[in-house]
This record gives sequence, C-alpha cells and structure tokens, in this order.
Amino acid sequence: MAATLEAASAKPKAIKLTPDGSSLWERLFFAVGPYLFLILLWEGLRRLLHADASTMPSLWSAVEAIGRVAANGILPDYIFHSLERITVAGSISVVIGVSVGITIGLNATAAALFLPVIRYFNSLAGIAWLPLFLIWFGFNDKTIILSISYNLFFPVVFNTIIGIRTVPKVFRQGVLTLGGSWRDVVFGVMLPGALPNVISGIRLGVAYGWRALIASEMLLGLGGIGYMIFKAQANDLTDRILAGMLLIGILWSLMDYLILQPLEEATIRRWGLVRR
Amino acid sequence: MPAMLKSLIRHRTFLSLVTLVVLWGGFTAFQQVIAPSRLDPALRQAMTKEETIGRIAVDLSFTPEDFHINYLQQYGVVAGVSGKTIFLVQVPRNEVRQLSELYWIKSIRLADQ
Amino acid sequence: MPYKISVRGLVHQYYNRHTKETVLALKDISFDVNAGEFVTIVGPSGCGKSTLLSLIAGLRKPSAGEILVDGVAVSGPGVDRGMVFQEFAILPWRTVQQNIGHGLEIQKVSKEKRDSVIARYVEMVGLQGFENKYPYELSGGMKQRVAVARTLAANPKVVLMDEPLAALDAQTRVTLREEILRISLEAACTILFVTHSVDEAVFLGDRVVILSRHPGEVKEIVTIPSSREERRYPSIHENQRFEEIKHHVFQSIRQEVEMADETTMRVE
Ligand SMILES: Nc1ncnc2c1ncn2[C@@H]1O[C@H](COP(=O)(O)OP(=O)(O)OP(=O)(O)O)[C@@H](O)[C@H]1O
Ligand SMILES: [Mg+2]
Repeated sequence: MAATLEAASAKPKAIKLTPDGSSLWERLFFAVGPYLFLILLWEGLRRLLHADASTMPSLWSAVEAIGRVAANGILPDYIFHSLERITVAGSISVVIGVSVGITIGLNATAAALFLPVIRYFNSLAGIAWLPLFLIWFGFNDKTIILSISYNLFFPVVFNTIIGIRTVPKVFRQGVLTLGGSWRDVVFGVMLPGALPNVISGIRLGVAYGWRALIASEMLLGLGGIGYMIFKAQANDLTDRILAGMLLIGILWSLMDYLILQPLEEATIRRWGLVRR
Repeated sequence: MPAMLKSLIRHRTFLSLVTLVVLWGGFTAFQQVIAPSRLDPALRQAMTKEETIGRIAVDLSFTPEDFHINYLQQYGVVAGVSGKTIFLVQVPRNEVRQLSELYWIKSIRLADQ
Repeated sequence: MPYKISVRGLVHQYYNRHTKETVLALKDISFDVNAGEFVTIVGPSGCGKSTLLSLIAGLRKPSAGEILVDGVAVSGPGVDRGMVFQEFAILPWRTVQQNIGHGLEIQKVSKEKRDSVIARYVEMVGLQGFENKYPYELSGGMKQRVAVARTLAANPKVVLMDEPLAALDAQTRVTLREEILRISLEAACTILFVTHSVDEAVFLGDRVVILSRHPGEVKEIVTIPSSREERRYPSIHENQRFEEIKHHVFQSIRQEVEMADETTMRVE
C-alpha cells in the first residue's frame, strides 16, 4: 500500500511534459538553450568549411557591425522607418480587416458576396502586387505601406470571421431571453466573443506584414532594415547582412513580446482558457 | 480600478516603453547640451553674423556612406566628399545648429569658399 | 380568466440542412399554465423538453401549432420570458456580478439599483466572495447558480428553467429548491421547470407534466394537492401523499424509458 502510494506521488514528476519554470536554471536553459545551439552550429560550420569572413562572417563580427551602424546613425533611422511603416500599415489593416471580418461573419449575404473574392486575392502574394503598386504610386512610402497592409489584412479578416462564427449560439440566445436587442447581441456577445480570435489574427497578420515590410524595403531603396541588408550585399558588407538579419528577428521578437503577446494574454486570461 | 492601474504600471510593455522614452529623451537632451562644442569658433562667429553659411565641412569619425550623404542633402547642397568629411554649401544657420545636435557628427567647421 | 401560457397542438421538427434529414422532436403538445403557477416537466432524455422551452422562449419557430402568452402568440424572444439554459449560457468574459446584472444593464437600470439587486441575488445563490470571478474560475454548479441568478435578476414574468440544478451537490440542490420555491411565491412569476429528478418535480410543482418518450407528447399531467407554501425539506418526505405521487410519476416515466429502450433496440 505504502509503495503504491509512493509510486503514485512520484508519477507526476516523471510525466512532466512542459517546463513549468520551477527553477531559475531551468528557465534560463529553455530561454537561451536553443539559441546557444544555433550559435554553436553556425560557428562550428564556419570552422568546418574554413569559410572566410566575406562569405560566412562570425557572429561576433555581426555584433560589431550592429555597433558600427548604431554609431554612424544608420541604425536608429532605419529602425524608426521600419517600425513607423509596420505601425501605419498595421493600424490601417486592423481597422479595415476587423470591420470586413465582422460584416462577413454576421451577414450571410455579405459572406456569399465577398468571401470568394477575398479568398481569390489572398492567393495573390502581396509581393506580386508590388510592380503594379510601383506604377501607381512610384518609389514611395505608400507602396511599401500598401504591400504590408495587403499581407496583414487576410489573417485578420479570416480570424475575425472564424471568431464571429464560433461564438456559441446559446450565448446569443441567453442575451435574447434577457430582453436583449440585436445591438446587445452584436456588441455584447458577438464582438467580445470573437475577440480572442481577432487578436490571434492580428498577431499572425503583423508577422506576415513584417515579412512583407522587409521584402518591399529591399526593393524600394527608401531606407529601413530591409534596405540595409540589401544595400550591404551590394557593398560586400557580409557582416552587416548578418547583423540586419539578426536585427529583423530581434525587433520582431520585441514587438511580439511587448505588444502582441500581452494583448493575447489579456484576452485569454479574461476569457478563460476554455472557450466553449 | 487602482489594482488594474497598478498591474498596468508594472506591466513589461509599460516599463519597457517608459525606459525607452527616458533613455532616448536623455540621450537627445545630452546631445543638445554638447551640440555647441561640435561647432568650431570661426563657424560660431560666422553664425552670429550671417543668415546662411556659404560653405561648411562636416567631419565624421567614419567614411561616409550613401546614407550620410543623402541625409545631409536635406540640409544643404553637398558639394563634395573627401575622406571622412562632407562639404555642404548654402546652409541656413539654424540648420547648422540642428546638424550639430546629431550624435554621429564629430565636428562642423567653416570651409574655404 | 385567460391562461398565462397556452400551448396548442405544438409540433416541432428539426431539419438538418446537410444530411437533409428531419427529426420529429415534439408531436402534438397541448397544455395550459395559469398565472403564478409552477409547472414542472419531466420525461426521458431526448424527448424534447429543451425544445419545448426554447419554443416558448421564442428562440425557435414551431413547425405547427401555436404558443400564446397572455393570449398573444409568441413571435420571438422577449424580456417577459427569461430562460435558464441547460448549457448555462453565461458569458465567459463577464464576471459573476456582471453576468447577474446583464439583464438589468440591458434594461438600462441605474448602477446603484443594479448593484443592490446583484448583491441580493449573489447572496441568494450563495456566491458571496465570488462576485469578481470569471466563469472559468467557477465550478459547474457555481456557473449554474450564476445562470439562475442572471435570469431571475432580470425579473421576467415567465421563467423557463432547463435542468438548472442538475450539476449541484445534494445539499446545495435542496437549499436552492427551497430558495426557488420561495422566489416563485414572492416574485409572483409563472415558472416552467424541466428536471430529471422526480423528487424535484413533485416537490416544486403545482402540476407535473410527464412527457412521453421521443418524439414528445404529453403523457400525463399530475396535480400536486398541497400548496407550495407548506413544502419543506426534510419534512416533506414524511408526507405519505407526497411519496405516493412520487412513486406514481416515477413509474410513469420508467415505463416510457423502458419502451424507448425497446424501440431503440429494435432499430439496432
Ligand atoms: N439542433 C438540433 N438539430 C436536430 N435535432 C435536434 C436538435 N436539438 C435537439 N434535437 C433532437 O430533438 C430531440 C429532442 O431534443 P431535446 O434537446 O429537446 O431533448 P431533451 O428532452 O431536452 O433531452 P435531455 O433531457 O437529454 O436534455 C432529440 O431527439 C434530439 O436529437
Ligand atoms: Mg434538454
């Protein structure tokens, strides 16, 4: 009896599947472990292939390159441009995308009319529009912002529609039997009920938009982190290319960690982990 | 409500933004304070008398790239680049002052016509 | 005197758009309910009890027949008919007190008035200390109590309850039964109450409507002789008449369930 009890109490430890961050060392390991592995892999490959600095620069030289572009004024200016563009494009697409998504989610006629068209345009990658945008707007910030907005729009729309459509019917019925009008249902049930999906859509959309930003900055020559790595290639600054790539990832992680994740956490915490 | 406000203030987003604003604000304020030291005495003298400076030399501590040349183009006509120096002509004096607040500029002096 | 609720020849058929199948849920239901009456509805699982309530609530349109409330045909949901759903249907993004006050909020009742009503119902369903919790932080039974309080707080004339006490422990259930009985006398509302528990149906109801197995029909309506004011736990169990009626209702339902089992067996 005592033995089985002991076995039972020991069991949870054995089947622990996710790190719960019980100790500081454990948390540190899971936070930096994967990156440490990648760093070792890169440095190992460099040595193995006897690569020279102009093809495979060391990570340290990339860090030094970041220091140089920071010191000579390029970095703050380009980061500012990139962040400004994603913010403007994000605001535009979130407003339009959420409105369109709500309309389609609530209205079967709107869905029948617009959903096929939206699906069609979703298949055209945003970058495929760039030549046309260039003809319409020229080598201009508008072109970049439009191409980011385009990519950001679709995940927002589709997730909003899913959010609206998966709100349990009984929530609506409940409010109706409390004497609620359609307005109470839309604003009191459908919109808050869809919010967790809308936020996930925004998070995904901004990730897509960020990629579009880098791509279109590379092609337009109007500054920004994307342009920095493109230009560095022309100037044979391989360490700067690597630096730019590191920064693209770091900036994204920061945006995600500081803005998008907290939004998602706030809704999920409030809505509860289980959504019926 | 106060509890919510408290958790907002302690939130990582709020803390990071405040840190960023404070650091950047402090940095630019510092640059404004040391800006006059980037201008050489002759240029400072000229700026008290003339509305527009005919020709200035902007010294950098690194070899200028397209970015820097394009950037300075906004302030005046770039008349040439030599080593780590960019020459600008016809720069209004308050724009010279603005230039002197840029942290990546080492010094600005009056250049020969 | 006109009836509070009249159900006349009600038929309801579900239609599945994808499989093109129809399910007959209710087959010719008729009964009347007087104002202020407490009617309980019992019947085997799947016989159409929830369907019946949602038709009266106006959430569905009947395939045939009609429902009159105060002599007027029901055409949609309204404040006059509140409903406690089998699935609770409280909103996960509202706290306990926000859920309970939702009906009053919709009716644009002032905040002070709302708060005092909320406080009264929170106490009544025993959720003091949980006012600011979200539904995911509550147990099933607590959620159910929030759902009951939410509906009652809106003060409807007719209260439709679909197994509102199913997920509670025996002790809370007994307390809430007495509580509901008291409210029904106080608020002078008309109550239709679906339950699986024969004890509950007989304890609460002025009349017990027994539905047949699927598709639902009214099998029998049993009138409970004692008045609601007199009923208390546990003394009710000493009442011989009460126990006899319970036994009768129990046998009646059991017959239906057994027959239902036979038919399904034959189908299989
Ligand atoms: N939305 C629906 N679509 C199709 N058929 C349905 C639907 N809802 C219920 N039914 C069917 O109608 C019949 C009655 O269902 P209902 O939910 O009213 O039963 P019930 O008496 O409330 O059962 P329980 O006691 O288990 O809650 C069942 O056979 C069920 O399969
Ligand atoms: Mg049911």
